[in-house]
Amino acid sequence: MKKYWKMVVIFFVIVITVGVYYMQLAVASKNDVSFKIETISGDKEEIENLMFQANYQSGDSDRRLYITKDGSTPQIRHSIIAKLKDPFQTLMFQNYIEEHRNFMRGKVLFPSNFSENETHIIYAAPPNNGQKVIQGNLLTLKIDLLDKKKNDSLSFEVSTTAQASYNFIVVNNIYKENGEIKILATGAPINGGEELLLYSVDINNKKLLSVSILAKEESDKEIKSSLSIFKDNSKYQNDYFVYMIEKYKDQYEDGGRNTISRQISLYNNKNSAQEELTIPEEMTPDLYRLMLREGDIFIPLYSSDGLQLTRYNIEKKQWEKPLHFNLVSPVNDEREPFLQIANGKVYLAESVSNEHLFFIYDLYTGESLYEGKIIKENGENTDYTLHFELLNEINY
Amino acid sequence: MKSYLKLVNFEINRFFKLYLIIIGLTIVSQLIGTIIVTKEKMNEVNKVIYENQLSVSQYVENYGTFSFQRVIYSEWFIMPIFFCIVMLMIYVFFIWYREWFGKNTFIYRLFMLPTERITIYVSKLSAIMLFVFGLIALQIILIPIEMFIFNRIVPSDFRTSYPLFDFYSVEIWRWLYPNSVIEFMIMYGMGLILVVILFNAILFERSYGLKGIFAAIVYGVLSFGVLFAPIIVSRIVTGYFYPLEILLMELVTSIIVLGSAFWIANQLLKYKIRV
Repeated sequence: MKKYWKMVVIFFVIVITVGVYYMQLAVASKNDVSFKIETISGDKEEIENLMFQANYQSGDSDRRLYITKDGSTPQIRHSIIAKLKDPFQTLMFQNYIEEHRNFMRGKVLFPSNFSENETHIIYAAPPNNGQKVIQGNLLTLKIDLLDKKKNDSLSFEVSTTAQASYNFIVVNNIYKENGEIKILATGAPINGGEELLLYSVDINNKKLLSVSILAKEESDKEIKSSLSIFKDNSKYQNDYFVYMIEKYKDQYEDGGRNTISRQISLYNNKNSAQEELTIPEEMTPDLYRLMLREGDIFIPLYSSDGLQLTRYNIEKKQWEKPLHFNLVSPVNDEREPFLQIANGKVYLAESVSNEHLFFIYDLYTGESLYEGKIIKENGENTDYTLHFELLNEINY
Repeated sequence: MKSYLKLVNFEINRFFKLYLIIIGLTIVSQLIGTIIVTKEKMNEVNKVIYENQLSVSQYVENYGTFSFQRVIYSEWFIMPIFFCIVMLMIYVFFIWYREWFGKNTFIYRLFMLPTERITIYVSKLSAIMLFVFGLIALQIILIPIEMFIFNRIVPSDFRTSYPLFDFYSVEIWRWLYPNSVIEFMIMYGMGLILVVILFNAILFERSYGLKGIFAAIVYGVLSFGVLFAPIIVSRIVTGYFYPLEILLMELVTSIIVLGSAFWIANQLLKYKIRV
């Protein structure tokens, strides 16, 4: 044994050191920064299934955290195993893969490429798989449909001759009704600019019914233009989307623009009707925050005395009385609260000098349903920032 | 077993002096580097404070604090790691070729030992892996010492804590110290397969001479082809296979490559090797 001392020493040093390191890493993960949602008032049920995705930064530390009422788990980046069950992959996809493993194979996992209604999950791959489209060549659309009840899937491709050349075309929205699928897509023409395209597909005959260009934007040296699309981001398909073409002269450093004109249109998927929307002047600076939810258009407007949420009822074609929500401290360019609208509720989170307040309100009455705090559970460090990115429902 | 241990010990003894030199260079470079990098930063801080007549709190407010990250991103820290990797890569070849090109052909004596020849192969492989893990362990031991030096030089007012997780922002750290024990095994399992493929390539050359070089290249390409087939396939049919399936397929191909490598090595050592 004596003569093997070098080998024995190396072996034991390796085992002890590597063992201790991984034990330390496990302990470090337990003692790592942790936050939880703590109730101040309101119904605790409101936060039962909620999970904040937030970014924590302190000095050189940078973590993505998933915060629930029970605490938070850091996403250990650059981990092979963690990537296998990537929580960053939205819960929607985690659940889709769990429930429809075979259907989800080979799909591009962007929410825009999926749509769901009571009976089906519809998937449209990026036209030509996101590759260049050459004028005169075939443009192919691949569509997959899953019947949720029968667990049957149908997959087919439709082709047409490309009328123009594009660097790429991406799917923005999918809508299915009465045996027809409408695919809203954005194309980047080779000559520059942007086009809003609408493909109509007949499911029964597996045929492309029409391709139409809803809108086009082209910039020149003098006047620049941009195309924005606003839609309901819930997983269920929705009847409407809004698009805006803005022409402007200069873009300022703070992102503001010297706007010349704005054309805002509302498209109805049900009857393919389009109408121009007139937005009150006082809301135009905040147009980029426009949201569609369940047949309503919402425009949040921040001011020194809080948040004003204006609602436009699409069915009634009228602007409803705005709701007002108090904010703890005034909003400025550097500090804007986290706002998410979903399930008929307004979720609002504010960070004020390392106090993170969280509110839930009724979307239509403004009634307060819940008030809570997101508190740091451990560690003395108070020199950090917590940036809320997304609020998910655990049982999506 | 006894002859295997004797052979591993023998291999360790032969490389031990050089190994100690590598360890010494790593320790010296990283410890000196820690002092130099930290002192440089503190001189910079003091200069700014002196020139602008700032208080400590004013400095921190304007310029912020800094952490141990400054040390691990420095060349003093990274270079010795690369030096160790390069030295061990060279030693993978040297461990075999010196048996033929020494003063007297030592391979004669090794092959005359009353043990299976594959034991010699496995002992050399074990020695290499022990050296690799030894250096991995050394780095783990050095970190707290370097942190201690850093903390001694930098007053707490200018310091930000640097938790263990933050080491993973450094690319090389992610490769050397994967996030979990399982990942550690996957990573070093891959490293072991790489060494085995190189060993076999050397044995092909030693068995067939010039033709052997061609055979070694073909064998290497084939082995890596099989080894990474699941990853290549998953890149071609994007998204068809789920990550866990790719991992399992990788596990199967790894076992195939490793198993066949040992079988080929055994055949070459028994029947084909030239001395």
